[in-house]
Amino acid sequence: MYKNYLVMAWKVLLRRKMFTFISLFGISLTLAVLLIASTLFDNYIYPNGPEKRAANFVNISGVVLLSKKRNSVQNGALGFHFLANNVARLKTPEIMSWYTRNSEVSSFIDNDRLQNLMRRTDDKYWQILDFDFIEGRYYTAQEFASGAMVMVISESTKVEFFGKQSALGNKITVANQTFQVIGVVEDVYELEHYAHSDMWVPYTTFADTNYKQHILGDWNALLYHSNTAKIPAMQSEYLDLLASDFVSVDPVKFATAYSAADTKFIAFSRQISSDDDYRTQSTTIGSALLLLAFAFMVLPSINLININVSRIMERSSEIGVRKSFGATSKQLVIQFLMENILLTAVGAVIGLAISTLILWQLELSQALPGADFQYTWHTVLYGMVMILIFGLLSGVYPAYKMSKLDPVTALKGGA
Amino acid sequence: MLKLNNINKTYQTDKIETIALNNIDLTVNKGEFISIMGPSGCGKSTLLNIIGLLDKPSSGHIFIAEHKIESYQDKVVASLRNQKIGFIFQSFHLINDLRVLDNVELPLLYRDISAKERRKLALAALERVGLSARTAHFPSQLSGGQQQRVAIARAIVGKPDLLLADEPTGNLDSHMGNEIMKILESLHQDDGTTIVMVTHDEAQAKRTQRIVRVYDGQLLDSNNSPLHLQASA
Repeated sequence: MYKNYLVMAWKVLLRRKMFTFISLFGISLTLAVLLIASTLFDNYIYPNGPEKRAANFVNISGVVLLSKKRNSVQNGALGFHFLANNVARLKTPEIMSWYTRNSEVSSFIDNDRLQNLMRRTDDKYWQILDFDFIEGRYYTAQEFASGAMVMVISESTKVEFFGKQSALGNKITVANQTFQVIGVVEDVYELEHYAHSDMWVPYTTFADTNYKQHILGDWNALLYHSNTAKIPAMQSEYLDLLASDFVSVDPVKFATAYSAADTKFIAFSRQISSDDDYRTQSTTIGSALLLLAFAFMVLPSINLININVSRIMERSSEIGVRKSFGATSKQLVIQFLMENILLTAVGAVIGLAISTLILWQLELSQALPGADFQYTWHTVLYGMVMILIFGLLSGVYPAYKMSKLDPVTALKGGA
Repeated sequence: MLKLNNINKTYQTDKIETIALNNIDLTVNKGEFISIMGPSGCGKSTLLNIIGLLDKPSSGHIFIAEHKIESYQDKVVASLRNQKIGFIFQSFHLINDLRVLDNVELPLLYRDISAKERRKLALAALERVGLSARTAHFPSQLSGGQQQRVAIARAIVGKPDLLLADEPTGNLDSHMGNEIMKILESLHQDDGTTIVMVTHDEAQAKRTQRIVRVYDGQLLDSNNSPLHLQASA
């Protein structure tokens, strides 16, 4: 019986080419857009590069500082003083890493000026983030402590400087400092904000120690715990510490500090909403995005419902005939849902093909350098849930309406 | 074969109650071919719909093949329509998306029959109406007469006890109408099929064994007097 429904559905779809085309166009395009969006989003929240342990860490990227009279507000990335006197006192994290934001540095090869991004980090950075080394290694705790002039570079940087040969042991001079290359890592996708760079060196190699005095600067901190369940504890410990025992360089000028240790999702929400206030937990934007995705899907669903309902009018005589010859309402509902599910499934396959093609082109185009898009089980799950919602939303109401159709009225052509 | 006892059908709108059928008593014997005649709006089609279990009477009882209709639950009437009744409509009501053979197979889809068996029975039914060469056509590729023959094949494919034809020649010219009548007569004479046909055409009605006349929702006797008034007089 079900096989027959499928065959029948297939025949109907083939016969009504215009209807099928319009429906498939809407379904596949919607699903393609949603799949691309969710894959981009998914790859951001659950990266597959060095930040692949994102579920186990949170990042502190900024702070808002209020004066004692509360008449002056300053905000920005963390200063080293803030890290050393506040973040350093956290007990919950198993590993903490401090690292600078990317800064642009210049170097010269045969009078050609090269521009690159560089970070200064501690040795713990390499334990929290999981880089893929093509050759060599990262700097040890000892090298870090002694301020060894060593450097890890990305693959494209290696090619830029040294071509195809091994980079290990070679020297690179940037910002009037010369470093020895001890490791080469695979390029990092730009949206992995904490890991992405071209060059990494120990922050103990700074030419002077002025950076240690500032409460605002360009530092970030990663807090890691091997048990993901400890993430909320780390976050609240940090908030409590700032609220009860904030240590400031200047208790009058910077009396109160607001900051947060963010998961990738919250960091994403803040970025989207340009929210750097930290006095609120920015989850609303994330939820709004999910809502938007849902609304985006509801619109074509309503359209398909509309097409389906008018198709019932058109097919009311068929419904009357089927009822006359012994179809029950339930059988008709199943038949109609099968048609819809088949249509949605075909649309889904086309949508998947379109999105795969677009993501593939996006990777090739290097519009997002280092990007390696993968359909994780999350994306596939999103896709399946979307298809299910889509199929149900657009199929159930028309099918219900149809099952209620009286055979005599249906035969007369009224719905 | 078919027995109607005291069938009434009224339509209730806000303020007006319309009587469509009034105390109808009718018996059709097995193997009989009868026609129902009457002016437009007299209740012929309502009567046929009630016989065909497409519509529910307001009161009264129906017996089809000794089976008293007690419940109008969707599942129950669907099964009875499928097993006992075959419909032929004035406007054919073929499904345009399906080929001729698939149209004829339709009633068998709702029975527990293998695809192979369905095909065999459908081909036999098409042969019976002389259309075995048109199995792969779509209805729109056939003439009106051919479409009605497909509809007859569909009605007889499940070997129902009762064939209900609602003005089967109403949309056809006299030549094609005659062809359809010949098929119905042959089904009656050769296969012993019980047929109830609604018609406007006196000549065609005369070709059946008995004419039942309906006027204002009531059956008339051969003197054109309401039957139930006679009974109560």
